Amino acid sequence: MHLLLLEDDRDTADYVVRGFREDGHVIDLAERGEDALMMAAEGDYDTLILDRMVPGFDGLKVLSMLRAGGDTTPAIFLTAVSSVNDRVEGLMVADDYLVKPFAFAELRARVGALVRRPQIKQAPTNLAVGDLEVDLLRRKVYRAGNEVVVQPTEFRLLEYLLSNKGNVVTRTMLLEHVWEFHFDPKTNVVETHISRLRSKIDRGFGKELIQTVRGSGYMIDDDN
Amino acid sequence: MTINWLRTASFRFAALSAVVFALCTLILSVLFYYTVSEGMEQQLRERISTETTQLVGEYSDSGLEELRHDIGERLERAPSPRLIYTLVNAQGVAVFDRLKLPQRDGWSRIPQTGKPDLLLLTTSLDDGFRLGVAANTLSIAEFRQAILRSTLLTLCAVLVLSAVAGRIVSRRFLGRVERLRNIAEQVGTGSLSTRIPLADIGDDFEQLAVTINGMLQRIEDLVHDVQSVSVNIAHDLRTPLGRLRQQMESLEAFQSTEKTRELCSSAIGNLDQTLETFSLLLRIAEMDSATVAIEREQIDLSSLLERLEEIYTPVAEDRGQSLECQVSGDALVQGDQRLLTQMFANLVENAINHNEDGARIQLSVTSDSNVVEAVVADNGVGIPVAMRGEVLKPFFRLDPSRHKPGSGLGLSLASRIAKRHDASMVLADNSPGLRVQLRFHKA
Repeated sequence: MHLLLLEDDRDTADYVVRGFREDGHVIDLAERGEDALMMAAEGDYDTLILDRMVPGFDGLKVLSMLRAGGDTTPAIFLTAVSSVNDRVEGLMVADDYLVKPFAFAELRARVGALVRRPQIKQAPTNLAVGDLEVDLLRRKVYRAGNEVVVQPTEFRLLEYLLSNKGNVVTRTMLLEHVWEFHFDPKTNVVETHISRLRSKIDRGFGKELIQTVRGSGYMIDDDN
Repeated sequence: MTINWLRTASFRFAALSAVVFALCTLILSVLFYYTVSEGMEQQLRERISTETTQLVGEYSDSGLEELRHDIGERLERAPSPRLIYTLVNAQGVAVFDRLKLPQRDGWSRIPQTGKPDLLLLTTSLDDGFRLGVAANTLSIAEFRQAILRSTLLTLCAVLVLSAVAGRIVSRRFLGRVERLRNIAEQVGTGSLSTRIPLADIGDDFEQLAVTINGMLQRIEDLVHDVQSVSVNIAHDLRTPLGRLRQQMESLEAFQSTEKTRELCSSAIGNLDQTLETFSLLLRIAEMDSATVAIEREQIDLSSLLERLEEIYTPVAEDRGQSLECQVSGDALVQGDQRLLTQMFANLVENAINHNEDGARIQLSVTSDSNVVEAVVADNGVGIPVAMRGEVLKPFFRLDPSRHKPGSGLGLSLASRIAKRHDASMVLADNSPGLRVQLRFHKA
């Protein structure tokens, strides 16, 4: 992946840059809004990672200008400000929003999800991995040809995991997309539902498709 | 609670004035009454005396016949009301007006049936003759009646007018007092920017209003200071803690032993907990701040609670608890989907976390034409009555040792979210257990 980071805080910049480089990606750093704007306009990035509060043009302004110019590169905001309104405002131009401080694994998983976002306009009707099939229209799940009855939440969970097949999704991403919880629950909601889903579609079918990735989150894949 | 106008200070003052005035009127009337009626009586006596002296003089000078002639003339010519004359000889035969004279000479009063008394002066003449000159006291009696009547009328008028004036005045002042009270109540419920409107009258009420407005401004400033301090604290502490977290993560990657990696992991976990507490604090401050607006869209509480039932049933079941939901059709309210979800999820999680195995948790939504009521109830441990107000305060924990998980901010945030949605949140006894009742205006 080729990434652009707009960040004026040295420590955060080092943390993020080091993380992505260790993963084998190429990442460019800009410390001022105008620089990021220029680099984004000239270069070809897979994802833009922008801090909202930087000297010069702030992240929001940079992205607004890029969008106005027709740039559709996926973008994620990093910010220390966490108010409900700021988030809503940010998501009007960006595709995701992450509040500082964050864990690198969280940023990595979200950037991954953004890059993989389907570019085709029509939504798929079917998702599958290994011998697991999900019919999105009729809301049915099949493993090894047999129908498996799942609850609505479990279905949504499976759908989201499959949309990010082969890649890690974090607990926070699951909370936001599957449960629409924009807060940290005080009970183990995610773990409980993952466990239930596993017992329905994984147990007894040989290969475990849903995997726990320590320190990051979960993944669905058909090779270990 | 409105004050009855009869109990106002101004009415009492008016009543007191009325009583004093009435008393003065009474005293003056009494004084006047006695002074004048004494005077009148004195005048009458003088008239009788003078007349008697004249007649006695006549008798002394000219004898009995002349006296008779004189009295006869007076009887004919005297204007009404005339004096009354009686002449009695030694045998007791009376002539002229024929009054019954008393045994002794001097002043006396002769009562008459149906008429005022007669004032009589009896004098003895020679040869056993006696002269009596009297006047009727009708004028005095009439005067007395008049005074009595007018005093009574005045008293009544004074009392009635005072009552009326007192009511009018006190109602006016009561109106102003009520307005002040309403404003104070509004401020009490959290509307800190309310001020008393000034009408430029310049009287003592206005002075009071100006002083109170000054006090309200000070309160508003202080509260804003406190709010911004807590927000600043949260921000300022989050940044270095965030850095610390990043550094711990890097450190974790460098660890060579399982044990030290675990220690780093655990340290990061503690940091995350602290950071989460700050997030909650900031969210609470956001809710308290009037300047941050929240979304206002149509939210169906029935489907929101049904969704939460579906999400939390497995979680409850894993702990041996049961979760049920009962909704009614039309439960639309105006609000922020995310905040309301957080609030209700918070209440459900509290029920799950603070109760034991076997607890039953019930969610319900009912509505009538104006109000939508949502209830999260459990049959578990409950909150003691004395604690129900305290529990909503930030960081309050029922367990003084603070060992259970949670920061003590959950209910505090939930109550503030309710407030921002103009909803009331009441913690009640579910006998046993806790019953959290939220009432919203229907959208």
